[in-house]
Amino acid sequence: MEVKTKLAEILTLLLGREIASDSDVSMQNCEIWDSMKHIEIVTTVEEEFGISLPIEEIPKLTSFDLLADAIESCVKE
Amino acid sequence: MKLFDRGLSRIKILSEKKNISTNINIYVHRNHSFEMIGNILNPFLNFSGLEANIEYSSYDDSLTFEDTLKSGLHVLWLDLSRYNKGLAGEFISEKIQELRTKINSPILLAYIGDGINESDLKINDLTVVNIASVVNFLKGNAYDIEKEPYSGTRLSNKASLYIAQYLGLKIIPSILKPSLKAIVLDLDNTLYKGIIGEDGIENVLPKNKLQKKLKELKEQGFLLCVCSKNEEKDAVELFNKRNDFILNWNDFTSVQINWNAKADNIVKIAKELNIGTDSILFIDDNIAEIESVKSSIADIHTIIATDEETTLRYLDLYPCLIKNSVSKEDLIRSKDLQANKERQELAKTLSKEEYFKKLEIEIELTLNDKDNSNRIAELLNKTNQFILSYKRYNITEVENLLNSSDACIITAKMSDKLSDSGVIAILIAKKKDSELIADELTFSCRALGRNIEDIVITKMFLMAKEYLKTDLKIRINYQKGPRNMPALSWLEAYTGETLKEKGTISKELNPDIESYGLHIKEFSYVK
Repeated sequence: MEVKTKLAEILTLLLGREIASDSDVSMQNCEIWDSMKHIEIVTTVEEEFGISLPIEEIPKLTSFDLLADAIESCVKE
Repeated sequence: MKLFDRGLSRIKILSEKKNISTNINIYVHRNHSFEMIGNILNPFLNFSGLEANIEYSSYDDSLTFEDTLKSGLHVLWLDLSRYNKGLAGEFISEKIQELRTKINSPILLAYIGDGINESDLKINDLTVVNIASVVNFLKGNAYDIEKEPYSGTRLSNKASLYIAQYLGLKIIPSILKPSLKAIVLDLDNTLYKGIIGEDGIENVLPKNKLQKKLKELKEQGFLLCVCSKNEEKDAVELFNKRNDFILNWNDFTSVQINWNAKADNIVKIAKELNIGTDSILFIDDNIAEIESVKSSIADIHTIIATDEETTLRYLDLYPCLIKNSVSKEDLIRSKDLQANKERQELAKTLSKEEYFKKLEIEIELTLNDKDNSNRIAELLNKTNQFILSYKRYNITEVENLLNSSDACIITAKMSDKLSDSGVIAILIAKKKDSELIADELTFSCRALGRNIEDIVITKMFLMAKEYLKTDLKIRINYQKGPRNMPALSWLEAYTGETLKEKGTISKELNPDIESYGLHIKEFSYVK
């Protein structure tokens, strides 16, 4: 739960609009989330959670849920 | 001053409160991505009241400048490792020259990689930043090669934070806004560790890295002043006795050492230097003093002096502490200000004629002074009080005017036996049909109050009229601004008209104006 709350705060600032902790926001339904915004989101998530996401996973993490899952599995390790 | 930190994070930066007074357009010509920096540039620019709308070219190594849009600033954002070794320097230099002919706005070249010799780039209104020098302190963390396929740049997320900090706090505001003019310094625990009244003159420890930095700023033309609650004789003795201090008593242009409120003392300093309080940076170790000064003087700039390293970083990153070129005038300015007091005394007791003679005032009027285009552009952009219409011509526009046949620039230099004031006035005149239009006029406040302004300005109008072959009846453009009351009051007195918010006023020149024996020489760069 805490991961989703923090992720929502990060995306709210980076996407410039309110994102809730049960959001379904994704690259498909959010115009500002383009490939450049994506790398900004990923690197900020890494910075804020103190993790390093596997490089080959990065292009696949294109929605709120996919990001949250990837963060949680990194945090557990 | 979180934005000045070394512990930046993207989230902290984006959470900063906004403070915007001016919107600007920035166009980025690039061959690697700038978005990671561009997306957090505004919180830093907001510190100076700026908010940027950034537009990007496509990734383009060949720099075709297809859409040269109207932007307040053009940024060339280049990774030189993408060019063949040995060819980058010449290619980039040619390209910037090409861009210079297409646009009038300032250009900022920010590059990573090798191949440029900065001293070869002699192009007007160009600022060059070697990004390596900004991110060197991050060592290996400055670059993130693994993510380059996704991010479009070799630079890491961490590096992008500090590049945005450097460009947004320091560089871009310094390009777009007038530079600060004076640094007002507290003494105890600011310039040295300790309190002279308690520890004694012999026992305080100089903060010499800070003093060295301030000395450098002084050499670049910023005026150093002191505002301290102390006994003045103790302070003088301190600077005279301590040979290990880098700053000397003579380095300070204006000094207010007493027990009065610091805000009052700073206003006195501003008055003495003839500058606005918005061009003053006040440094003090006492947060209560800083807050009290800020509450009385809303537009003042302040830095809290904590440990020496942090104070130095604040100074290194502080906006508008760069002079693009140190001109001779900046260096003589501080001597001139000291001579002003003496002049004011003489003006009180003597007639105009006696005063001009006694001071040996010499005026030099020059038509289209092509050797001084930098100084002309600088004065047009930094003068705030005696300026009639705030046209803020940049260097490229100035050079175009200097070479025009239906416009001209007249500059006036002044010297007297006390000091050389350098360029004190600039007139930009344009010809429309047979009429002369004074499009911009600036006059140095340091030269006001010597009863010379009517004579010198009329002679400048007449000189422009001769060159442009226009009538004696001219039109003078003006616009009310935040601080140009001195210019507007002069214009009202000179024309006898009442002014509106902005407009143009007709004036019949008097070709035989009485000059009370004032020595005026005329020069021309036009054959």
